[in-house]
Parts: sequence; C-alpha cells; structure tokens
Amino acid sequence: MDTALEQPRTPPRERAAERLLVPVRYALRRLRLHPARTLVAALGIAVAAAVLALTLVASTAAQDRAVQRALAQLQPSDRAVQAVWSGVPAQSSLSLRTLDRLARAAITPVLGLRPSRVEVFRQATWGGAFVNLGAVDGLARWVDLLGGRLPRPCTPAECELLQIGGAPVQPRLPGLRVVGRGAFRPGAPFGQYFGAGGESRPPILVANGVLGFARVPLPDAALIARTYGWVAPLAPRAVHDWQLARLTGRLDAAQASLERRSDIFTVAGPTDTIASIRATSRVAAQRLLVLGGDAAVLLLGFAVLASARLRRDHDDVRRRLTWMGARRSQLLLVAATESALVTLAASAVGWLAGAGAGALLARHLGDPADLAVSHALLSGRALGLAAALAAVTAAVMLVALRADELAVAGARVTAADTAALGALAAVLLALARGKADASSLQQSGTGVLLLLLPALVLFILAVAVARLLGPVLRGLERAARHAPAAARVALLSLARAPGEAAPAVVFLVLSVGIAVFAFAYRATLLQGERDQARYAVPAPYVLQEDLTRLVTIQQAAPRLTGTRVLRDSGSVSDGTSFTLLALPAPALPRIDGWRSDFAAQSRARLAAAIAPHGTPRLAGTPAPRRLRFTIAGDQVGLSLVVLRPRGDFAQVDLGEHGPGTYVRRVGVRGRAVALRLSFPNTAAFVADHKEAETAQGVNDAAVGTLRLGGPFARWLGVAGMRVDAPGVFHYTVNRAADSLLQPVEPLDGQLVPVLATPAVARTASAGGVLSLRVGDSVVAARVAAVVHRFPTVDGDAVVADLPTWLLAANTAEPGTTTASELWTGERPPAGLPLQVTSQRAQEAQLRGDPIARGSIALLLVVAAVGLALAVAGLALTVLGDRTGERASLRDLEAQGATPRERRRHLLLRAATVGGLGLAGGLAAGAVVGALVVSVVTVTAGAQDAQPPLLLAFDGPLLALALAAAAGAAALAAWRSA
Amino acid sequence: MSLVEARDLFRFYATPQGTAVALQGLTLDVHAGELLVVFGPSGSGKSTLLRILAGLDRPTAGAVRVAQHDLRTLRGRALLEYRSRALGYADQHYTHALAPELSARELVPLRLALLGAPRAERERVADELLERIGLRDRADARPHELSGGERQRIAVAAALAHRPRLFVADEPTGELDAANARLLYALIRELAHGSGATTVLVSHDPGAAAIADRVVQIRDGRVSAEDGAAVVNRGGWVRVPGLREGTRVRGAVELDEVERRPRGAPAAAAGEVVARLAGVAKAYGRRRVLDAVDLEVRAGALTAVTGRSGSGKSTLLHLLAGLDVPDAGEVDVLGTEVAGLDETARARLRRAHVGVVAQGTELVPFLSALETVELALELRGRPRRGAGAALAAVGLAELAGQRVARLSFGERQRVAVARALASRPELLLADEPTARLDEENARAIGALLARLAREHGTAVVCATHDPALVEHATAELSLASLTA
Repeated sequence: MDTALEQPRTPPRERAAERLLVPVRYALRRLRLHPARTLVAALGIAVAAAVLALTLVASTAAQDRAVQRALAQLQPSDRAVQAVWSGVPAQSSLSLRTLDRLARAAITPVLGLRPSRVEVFRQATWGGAFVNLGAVDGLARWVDLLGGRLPRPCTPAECELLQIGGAPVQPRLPGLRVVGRGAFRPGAPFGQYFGAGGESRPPILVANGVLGFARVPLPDAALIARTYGWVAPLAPRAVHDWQLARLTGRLDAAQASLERRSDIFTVAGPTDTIASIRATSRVAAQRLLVLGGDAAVLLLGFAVLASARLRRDHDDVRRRLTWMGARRSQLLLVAATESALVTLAASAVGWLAGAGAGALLARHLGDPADLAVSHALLSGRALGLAAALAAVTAAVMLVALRADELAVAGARVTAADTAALGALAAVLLALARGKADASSLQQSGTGVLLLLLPALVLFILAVAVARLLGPVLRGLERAARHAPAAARVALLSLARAPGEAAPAVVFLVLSVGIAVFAFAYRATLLQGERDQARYAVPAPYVLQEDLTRLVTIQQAAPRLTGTRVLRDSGSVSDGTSFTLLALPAPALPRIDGWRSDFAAQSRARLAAAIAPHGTPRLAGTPAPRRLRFTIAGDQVGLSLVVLRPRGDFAQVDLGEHGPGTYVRRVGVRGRAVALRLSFPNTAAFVADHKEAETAQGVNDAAVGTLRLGGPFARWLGVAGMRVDAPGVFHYTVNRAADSLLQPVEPLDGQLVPVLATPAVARTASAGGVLSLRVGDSVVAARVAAVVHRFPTVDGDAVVADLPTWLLAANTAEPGTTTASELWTGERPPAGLPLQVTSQRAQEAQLRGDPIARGSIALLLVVAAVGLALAVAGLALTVLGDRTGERASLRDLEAQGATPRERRRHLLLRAATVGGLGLAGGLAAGAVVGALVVSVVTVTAGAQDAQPPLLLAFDGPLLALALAAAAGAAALAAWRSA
Repeated sequence: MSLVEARDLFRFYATPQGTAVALQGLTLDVHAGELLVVFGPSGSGKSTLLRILAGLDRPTAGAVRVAQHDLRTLRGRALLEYRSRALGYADQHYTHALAPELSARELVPLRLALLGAPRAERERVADELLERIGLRDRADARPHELSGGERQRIAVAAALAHRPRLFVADEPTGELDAANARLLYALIRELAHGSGATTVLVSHDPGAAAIADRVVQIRDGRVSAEDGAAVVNRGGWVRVPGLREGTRVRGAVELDEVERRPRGAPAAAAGEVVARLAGVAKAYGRRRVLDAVDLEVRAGALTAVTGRSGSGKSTLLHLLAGLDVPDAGEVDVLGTEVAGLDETARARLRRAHVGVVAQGTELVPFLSALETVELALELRGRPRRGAGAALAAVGLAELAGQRVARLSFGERQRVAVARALASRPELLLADEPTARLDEENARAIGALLARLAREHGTAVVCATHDPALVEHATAELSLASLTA
C-alpha cells in the first residue's frame, strides 16, 4: 500500500474555514496550557478596566447624590410636581370635576403618583374671621395635631376645620367649625398655598377633603377667586440623576396637555433646579474625562508593556509557524485570538471588580449602590464603551505583539512619532482656544478637548521618553565604565538593547506620572476647597445685612468686634462694572482668603498704598438737642443727617415748613454732618399728577432763604444752595434733587487711593485717576496698586480704605454710605437679624458636596492604582528579565556568579528602569498637573473655581505613597528576581 | 533538470562593526529528486544559503530560482504560497520548529492543517508518517515528552507531510549522538526519496555524506569542492568594493597563540586526582540519568565522556561543575565535597577553579567576544589583558569586537572555549565543544584542549560524541558502560 508520501503529488483538499480555525484552535490551546504566561498582563488590564468602571460608577453616584442633595435643599412645595389653577369659578367654563379629571390625568404620569388635591381662598374674611381658608385631601397625612381632634371629611352640611397658626378664630358661618389645632408636617408640600402660618400672619383654616369643601355653601363663593392645586410630593431620593431628563419631558408634556384645555392652568415642578443640577452633572461628568483619559492611558500602556513581555514567546510562535508555512493572516489570527481573549476576559473581570469597588464608593457617598452600578455599567452606552475599550486594548496588544521592533532611537520617524507630533499639535491648538470652565464644559467641544489633554500629553511624553531612553542609557553606561562588573554588565545590557527596556520605562513614567498627577490634582482640589471657603468667607464669620429685614450691622450687632466692611457695586466711565469693597487698611494684611498670586505686592504694601494720612472722619458738629431755624420763602422740607456714635446715620425729619421761625427737637445723639432740603411732598405729588394727566411739564421750585445759627452758620451749600451771608442760605429746590448744607470736609478735592483689578485700572487716566460711580455719587479715586482679584469678589473689584471711602462717599452724598458687613472671629449670638455665614460651614458644605467627594475619592483611587500598577509593572519587568536574560544568567552562573550576584544583575536592571521611570513619572505628573490645573478651571464640586486653582502637592502624602510603592516594588522585584 | 538554480549569489549584512559577508558569488544547481549534502566550516555561508532557498532571506545580488520561482523577486502571496506548498524545512534546533503545545499527531500534519486540509486527511497522513518514523505509539506525546532524536524525526516528518518540491535541512543532526544521527539520515533519505522531494541538507557531520547523491563543499561563501574535487572557477571570484578585508575571517584555531602565552605553574601535578565521583546517582523525576557512577578526573589529562544522547553526559558535567547536586554519592572537586556546599559556595568554587564551556553556547548576548572573555577574567579577579590572546588562539582575533549575538553558533562555541582557556582553570568542563564546528576546527579545538591539559596540567573533561575530539583524549569514559 502506498503511503501518503508515495501517492501522486496532488494539491491537498483545502477548506478555507479550516485554514482559519487551525490558528484559532492553536491559540486556545496555548492559553489553556499556559494560563500563567498571560496572567500578569490580564491582571494589569483588569485593574485598569476596573478603574474605568469605578470612574463611571463613582461619577454616576456622585451626580445622583448631588441631585438628591439639591432637591432636599428645596422646600417640599418647591420640589413637588403640581398643577395649579387660580381663578373665579363663575368666569370659567370648566367645572371643578372637569379640572380635577384633567389635572389628575396630566400630573399622575409625571411621577407615577396620584396627586393630592388642595384648595385655598387666600387671606379673606369669612364669618368675621380673617383667615386663609381651604381644604386638603387626606388631611391626616399632612398635619400633626396639637389640640382638639382632626376634622372629619368635609360635607356641604358640616365642614370641620383644623386651625394652623395664629390666634384662635371661629368663622361665624353655618356648617363651618374649628375642631382642633395643628401644624403642617415638615414634608407637607402646601407652602405655596397656605404660606408658613405663624402668629403675625392670618391663621389657616383647613378642611379635610377638597371635593366636599367645594360643595360647602360659602357666601358668594362662586365669585371669589381661589386656587386649586393637584400636588404630587417629590421625595429627594425618589428621583435619580439619570431620570431628570425624562422628568423634565414629562413636566413639559403635562403643561402642554393642560394648556390645551385652560390657559389658567400651570404646571410647576423643580425644573430650574433640575436644569441647574443637570448642568453641574454634565460638568462633573466631563471633568471625569481627565481621570477616564488617564485610566485609558494606563490600560493601553499596560497592554503595550504586557505585549512587550509576551513578544519573545510570540516571536517563537511566529518563527515556528512561519517555518511550517503559515500565512501572515494565520500568524495574525493566532496573536489576535490570544490578545482578544486575554483582553476580553481581563476587561470583563476588571469591569466586575470596578463595579464592586464602585458599589462600595457609591455606598460611601450615600447612594444606592445597585442602582448606581446598574445605571453606570449596564446601560447600552456603558457596555458599548467597555466593548470599544476592550477592542482598542486588544488592538494595541496585537500591534505591540506584531511590531517588528520598538524603535527607541535613530533618525527614522515611526508611526508613534507621527502620532505624538499630531497629539502635540492638538494640545497646542487646544491651549490656544482657551480654558475649560464650567460653562464651556456644559457643551461639547473645546472644554472636552481640553479635558483630554492629560492623556494626549502623557502620550507625547511616552514617545519622548522612548526616544530619549537610548541616549540616556548609553550615557549611564559610559558613566559606569569604572563601576563594579555587576553594575557595568547590568547597564550594558540595558544600553545595548534599549528597545527591551523601553516599554517598562515608558509604562513606569505613565503609571507613576498618573499617580503623581492624581495626588497633585487631589491636593489641588482640596486646597481649592479651602481657598474657596476662605475666599468666599474671609473670616471665621461674616455678618451681612439681611435685605428682607433692613437692619443695619451697627444696629444688630453693635458690640461685636471685627473688621467692618462696606460692599457696593459701581462702574467706571467705560461701563466696566465692579464690586466696591472698603475695609480698614490695617485689616487688609489679616484677612483670610488672600493668596500671594492675587497681586504682585504683599498685602502689607497694598495696605500701605491705600492707608490714609491721619484719621479721616466727617466734619460736622455735635447734633443739638433742638435746632432753631428761620425760613423766608416757599415751603421746603428739612432733615438733619446725624452720624451716630456706632457708625450709621440717622435722617432726622424736621418737617416741611413755610415762612417763619421754628425750633425742632433732634432727639438723636451724634454728629450733625448735613442738612438736607427737599421739595415738599405735597407739591411734588401735585406736580406729578399734573404731568400724568396733562401734556404739560411742571417746573415748580421752592425758593427762599434759610437762616441758621451757631456752628451751622459756617456750613456751605451744595446743589441749589447759596450762602448769602454767614448763616443765611438761599435755596432753590425742585423735584430733581435735594439741596444740602454741610461743613467743609477734609477730603474735598482729594483723590481716594484704591486697589483696582486690571480691567478697572486700564480705564484710569494719566496718574491713575478714576471716576468711580457708586450708587448716586461719584468719587474721584487714584489707582494705588493693581490686584488681580480680591476675596469675596467675583469679577472686577475696587478696594479702598473704609474710613477714607466713607468720608469721600458721605461727603458727596451725606448719610448714604456706611459699613454693611462685619468680618469677625467672634461667634455671633443666635437670632441676629442678619445673614451670618460661617467659614467652617462653607468649607464643610464644599467638602460635603457629593460630586466633590466623589472626585476626591476617585483621584485617590486612581493614584493608588497608578502606583500599584507601577509596582506590578516593575515586577513584570523583573519576571520578564528573568526569562529574557536567561541566557545571560545561565552563562554568568556557569562562570561562577553566585545567586546573589545573578539576582543583583536583575535588580540593578530593575533599579535602573525603576529609577528612570520614577524620575520621568515625577516630571510627567508635575507637567500634567500644572497643565490640568491651569486649563481646567473647575473645582472639586464641578463649579467655576473662585479663586483659580493653584497647583498643590501634598508633599508628605506623596512622599509616603512613593516610598510605599518603592518599597513594594523593591520587595516585588526581590521576590521576582 | 535542475529544480534549484543559484547563480553568483552574494549576501552582505550591515553591522555596527562593518559590512559582513555571508555569500560571495555562490553558484549551485540541484537536480529534481536529488539529495544534495552541503559541507562547510562554521560561518562559511551554509545556513544563509538555506535561508535564501527557504525564502526567509534574499540575496544581495545574484539569481536564485527554485521550481521556476525567482526567489529574488518573489513577494507577498506568491512567496507565502512557495513557502507553504513547495518547501519543507527542518532546522538543527528542532525545539524551534515544534510547537510545545501540540502532540506528535498534531505536529506532523501541521502544514496540511495550515493549508486547510480536512481533519480526517490530516489524521490519516499523520498516522502513516508516524508509523514510518516508528513513533506511532508516541502519537499523543508532546515535544517535551520525547527524546531529542524522536523530536527531530517528528520535525522531519512534519517538514515532508505536505509533500514539498524542495526539502531543506540545516544540520538536522547537530544536537544528536551518532546513533540517532545515522537513524535520522536514513529516515531523511527514505522520506525524501519516497515523496520525490529534492533535498538540500547542510551539515558538518561527515556521516551525512552516506545518504547523499552529491556532496558539495562551501568555503567563504562559495562552492569550493564538489564530490571531493576542488571547484575554482564557478563564479564569485570578484572583489567587492567597500568590503573590509578579513572582517569575517573564519580562521582555523591558531595554536601558536596559546604557545606564545606565558605558562603558569600547573595547579596540580600531572596525574593527581582533581575531581572524583563516587557512587553518584541522579534522576529527574522518574527518569534515572546516572546511577552508581564512579569517576576520577586527573590533572593533565583530557577525559572524553561519551555516550548516547540522554545518557547523562551533560548531567555528569553539571555535577562536576556544581551546577547541580547528586541524589546520592559523592562529588569531590579539588578536595571539596560539592554536595555539601550551598549554591553560593559552589558558585565560588566554580569561579575559582572550574571553567565551563556549556553545550548550548549560551553567552551573554549583548557583550562582544572580547568583553565576554574579559568579564570572565574580571569575575575571577584576573587581569583582562589575556582576553585578546585567548580569542586569537581560537582564530577569532578579527571578531573580538563583534557582539556574540551576531556570531554564528560555531564562532560562539569558540568564544566559550577561548574564555575557558583564558581563565586557566584547574578543571575545565566542556560540553560538546565541537558540536557545531567543521571537522578541521573540531580537530584544532581538540588539539588545543589536549595541549592545555598536557602543558598546563589542567584536568579537561569533554562530553562529546565527536570522533575528532575523542581522538585527542587521553581517556575515554563511556557513560553507557558506567551506568550499565
């Protein structure tokens, strides 16, 4: 029988599928038989994939917590979803039942909850009682009973009421009866309907059941306006970040469906808050690209390193199969199958591990871990991202496995060089286009491109390091020509084959660089939080006037010590607006929130630049107990401006007077600084009326002579006043402006020295002279120094010495300007009628922000992972060297090198690689950190940074982490060797 | 009709040390179905010729055609087709050719599998070929479970399974003992003739001539002799501009170099026992390699340790060198019981007194030949200046600056010998030091080692199956008889 060799030579039967399956089967066999060979590579890829997954989960959880936190800060009624109808039933074609059906149909789908009905007649008198009268469905759910009992369901015949707040009342109407007292529970969403209640407001009388209440025969009820509401309360934790877009859409749909039936209907919901949160969330998500980009660089870097370590084995495979006649596509298929399977398996494991770590982090942030993980990682987009990343990683591994040689020197321009040049061009272009602040990050484009900068810069650095490695290693080798043999041989081995060390050094530069960057960026954000808190609240406590109460600082806290500050807004001649801040010059060096980068000069020098010569104070005369004056001429109004000892002003109304001599009681202690003459109110009213009712203009003026004695006789007149003789003042006063009598002030004709931001300073004329319009007055100032920013001010600022400014401003417009804030280190007593802001509370609020916490935690994780991967990379390098240097080690062993000396050879190689990687990593981290901080002007909480972030290094933590990593690397290398 | 036609082939390589030339105008025809054996000293260009015939390299100049394929211009898919269908290739390093993950039954028809042959056909061919090479019962074994001879038989069968037009074999018996080599030669002839393949077999083993239809000699990149007759006018005798004369001199071992060196006092008196094995046994797993071996190695003697592949020659040398320890028995080197020392102490003993020429020619690849010798001297605390002379002694003076990774296997082996000579050990252990050398160089190395023993009192132990070396031995120890 002929054997196969003896048979006639005919082409073997060939199947295309078989040609493809053979390499795949071979790759599978290799993986099955040598799992350990790819284990370290798989572990590294898994860790990097885990970081990415963790980033996604943490981002989702942080944003979700931010949403819930923002919603929780709203009043229940502000965050509830509700349909509101306000009107007079007699004027409406729709009955209550129709309104009810429409509103329920519109509101129920928004949150999936049936809304509660509410009806209210606001502030009306019913049966002699001035009350807010209304009804709520299911009253027991919303109120706490304080006395009596809860009302029974309201019927037309008998409608029991519960009184909330106010003095006890009892409407004298048939069927209405107050049966108990109560209070709305904190979560009751009816604030918009009934108000807060309270002793100074009309009491609330509320019935149980809207439909029943609507049938109660109240007098003229059909003609009285009322409000119906259908309210679906929104619990802060019931809505998640990823549901906001849909919620907004449902609200819009509800509004549209109700508007089609009645334009009186409005649908209310926390849409503004949602929009604001979504914008912040988007910024936070975009900012995470910094970390995502870094994690991707780590992932791909490790893939290249791992591939470089597997290359020797794959070269053997390639050689064997080439000798066996394998086609290029078959060789590719072997490598591709192995790369794909390793990457896919490692990515899947990493994704799962990242999900687990993300769940822990989400729980740490207080977010439901299962929802955060499932939404972050199981969405189509996330799974697509994971698949794409695994595919890219596999492709990178494949390219690294198949690359003929890693070029690290020479004049040949490689694909990596070209890509690096492209990346450099992209970086320069991006830098030229501007910074990534919160607003730019809400849109795609420049901001996002800027955020990808770290990854691009790291790539450029990686190529540069690979390029420089050959010369550096050769330099080291030359420097070690007279070193002991072990060191010389180790350096020779690296210098003569830099391509083998390049992946390891580059990876270490990347991983250490990312870790250093993450540590630095974390320290920067934490420092930024402290800076923001101090910038916003530049003293332990800042007290400001509460504009709803109109009580001055001087009135509310006369005994509290600290720095009194005036804050106002103003503008300069070209329209540039600024915030005016006046504080005592000596206090300037002591305020918190100042940073040396705010100005070229020190604070002491700035303080000296605006400090007054002497003690500026308004001139004037002690306020008399009674003021005697004589008028000859038209009736005129008079008021005396008195500067109280505590620093604020009193306007003492002396009345409107015609010809005659008068003595009026002043009754305020202090210094009289001006006498204001005004057009009589009655005449002004008549003139206004004439102008309104006719086409005539009115040019009335009060003209006459005022006689004053004593120290007032030496005062001067301003704006319509003329001194006829000492103590004799001729006045002409109209509706346009008041006239003034005031003493000669010390700053008359002098410029107020101020600090100004560059935009304001640029408007100054020669000599730095500026006209500052603040309120109704214009103050001439001189720019004494330029500051780039000043604590508490967002935008342009003008800073002046407080006494000097008060003098200047009150000279121009007496009695109008006084300190409005107190910056103090003393804890203010509770219950002050002022806005009190605590620096510590501000910092706690910034630190407690979920997005900030998430970002800070993620950076720590990325830093730790970067260092861990650096350690793993070094161990992998030593393991690879142990295989790659096998021939050298065997020869050295045969020549009598002891185990210790052979191990030293490996460790010296590892130390050189590690040292170069560490040095390069520190430099790379610093470069990337500086770049990111200068370009991405967003705080930990994804807000615009005010003041700008300043690169910070947590030296002790960084040193500790690097020392720990170096120790771990040394241990790993020692054990691997 | 010629299947292979090579005309005026030149192949130059650019290296940092200058241009190296491998072929200088080689002209050769091989007829269809012929079995041609090519001999030549190491570095003469044999392997380069085979790589060009295999389509793994291209000539710098000249023409080469195989079965009408112009290999100088063949590219891409056509080249792949040529390599996968027309060519069979067997290398001296069978471990390089055999995928360790596959069984013998998968390795033999691997070429067919890569061509897309159905599984049934592959298995039929595999079974038939395994039967022919006597390994049917080892069909499921993977390479590491087979002996060297068995692996090389698998490699040859795998190279011929797809019935190529041309079969090229590069020193296929280079790592086999004589008995296994004879077996393999017979198998190659049988399989090649059976399949009708034209065969080009490169070797330095004179035994290969026994199966040849024709024998040619190559020297300095040219055909220098054919069937014993000198060839002086077959092309290639031209000067190559820019080529440094003597850049790759394949000089024979220069014995005078050794004689010029100052003689050191012998470490031990001639005839004194330098090393001794008593009742030594060694096993790797279940495989017993040495059993109750006794041996005395004397100063001034060249002891040849012979035996079949796998008989434990290398193991015995490893035990003497302290690179391994016996399971039982005593190994005494210069009065020190080696087994009682830890690894560090054994390394120090080796460094101080023992020179090792390993079988695999594994040298530190990034060092030059000179640096390799200098490092050995430095490790032993000796001046480096003797390194150049030692290299000159083995005919490598011109290649002293060349990195060992770029040297041929034979040249590397000579570097290893030079290193051992330079370090003047009391005990020199050489494992197959002539395995990749042509006969002339092998004899020279043998003479050098014998002279080292005789004149310097060095105890030289060579594990070898090379008669050219054995003929210089003062004692021959057959491990087969020792372990019997």
